[in-house]
Amino acid sequence: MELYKLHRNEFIVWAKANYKASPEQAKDAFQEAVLDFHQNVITGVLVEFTSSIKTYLFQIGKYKLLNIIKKEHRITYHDNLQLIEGKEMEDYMDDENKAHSQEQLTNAINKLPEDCQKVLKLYYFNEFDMDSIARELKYKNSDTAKSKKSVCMKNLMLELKKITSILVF
Amino acid sequence: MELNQNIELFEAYTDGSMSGDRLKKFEARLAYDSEFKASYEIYLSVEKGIKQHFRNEVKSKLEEIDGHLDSLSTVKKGRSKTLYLWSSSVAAAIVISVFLFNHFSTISNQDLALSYWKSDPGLPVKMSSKGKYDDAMNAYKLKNWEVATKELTKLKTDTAYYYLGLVSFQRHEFAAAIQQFEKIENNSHYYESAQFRLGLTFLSLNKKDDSKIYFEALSEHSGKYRKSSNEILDQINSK
Repeated sequence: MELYKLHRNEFIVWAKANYKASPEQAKDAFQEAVLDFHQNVITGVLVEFTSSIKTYLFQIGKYKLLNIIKKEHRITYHDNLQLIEGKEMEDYMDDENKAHSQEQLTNAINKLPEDCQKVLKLYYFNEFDMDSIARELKYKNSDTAKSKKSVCMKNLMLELKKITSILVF
Repeated sequence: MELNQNIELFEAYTDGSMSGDRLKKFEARLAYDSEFKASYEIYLSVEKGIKQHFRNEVKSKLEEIDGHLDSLSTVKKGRSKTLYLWSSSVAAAIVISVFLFNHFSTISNQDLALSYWKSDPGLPVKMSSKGKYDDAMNAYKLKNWEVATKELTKLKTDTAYYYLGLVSFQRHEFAAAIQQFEKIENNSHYYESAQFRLGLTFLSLNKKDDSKIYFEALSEHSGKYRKSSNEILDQINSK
């Protein structure tokens, strides 16, 4: 969060000067960059820097920005009812389907009890091991954390089944 | 349900705790049992979706920071001008002190409001048929607030009022946001959320007493905003 606050404004100015990006596009790209940075640090992909954190963030942000600009250009195409074909059409459909499935999954996760949401977040987002989850959530031991995570996954699948009939169980 | 029966197996395989004969049997089954393989693939896609969900959650928090930083830069511009106009006067010092006091208490309430303001992903846009909210939602999802406002204004429904309120808040047009949320009647699906967001919008305007009316009402019902409303009330009352 602090990194984001520290470099965001500079990135917006830089993105506008170099890629004519709108502030909204720049913010979106920089948010993605900070999230990737966070993920790379906790997964151990990033262990040492060959450049400053700011340079690293700007590099990721640049690629994110180019993707956003490209994607928005594609949607503008579609809105103008111009024909999009082949790979471009597949990508478009893929994005739409993914967004729809993600929304269903988000609804299912939001229906889980708070403790389940915490377990899943610690495991999948923070990438904690079971010992750390047990410590964080004051469970008896890692086995308790592990079985709690399994129960939460089962509940999630049940919620998903209620929400959608697309998934085949 | 086959998938749920196999959750522990899938978990052991993906976290690397499966070994020996158990691992060989699992991998063999993946190769010959297509139903088992399909379940496993669904499991993997759900895992990927969970990661994305929490990533989106953090992204919403960064968007809230955006709102805060944007509003700060607007306030800073206004403050510079004020300082220039009153710098030669001793009396101005008093005015500025009062201004700064109000300014900081405003930011503090804005911070509180933003910390509870959750981004709404918008309604799903289907490819198979054209829905009446599609144009508005496409613009909303792209944060093209101008087009979203234009499209939503054409629709006189509680859904449109709700999203117009959200768009106005994103644009820091708090009075307009209040106007839209207030149009939503108590038989609407959006009523409770609109009431909560009204409270947050008034809080963003530093109108604590107005915001408390909404949070107090919500805290008396067993709805999904009860807990948050109580927390906000505690923080407002402790100031």
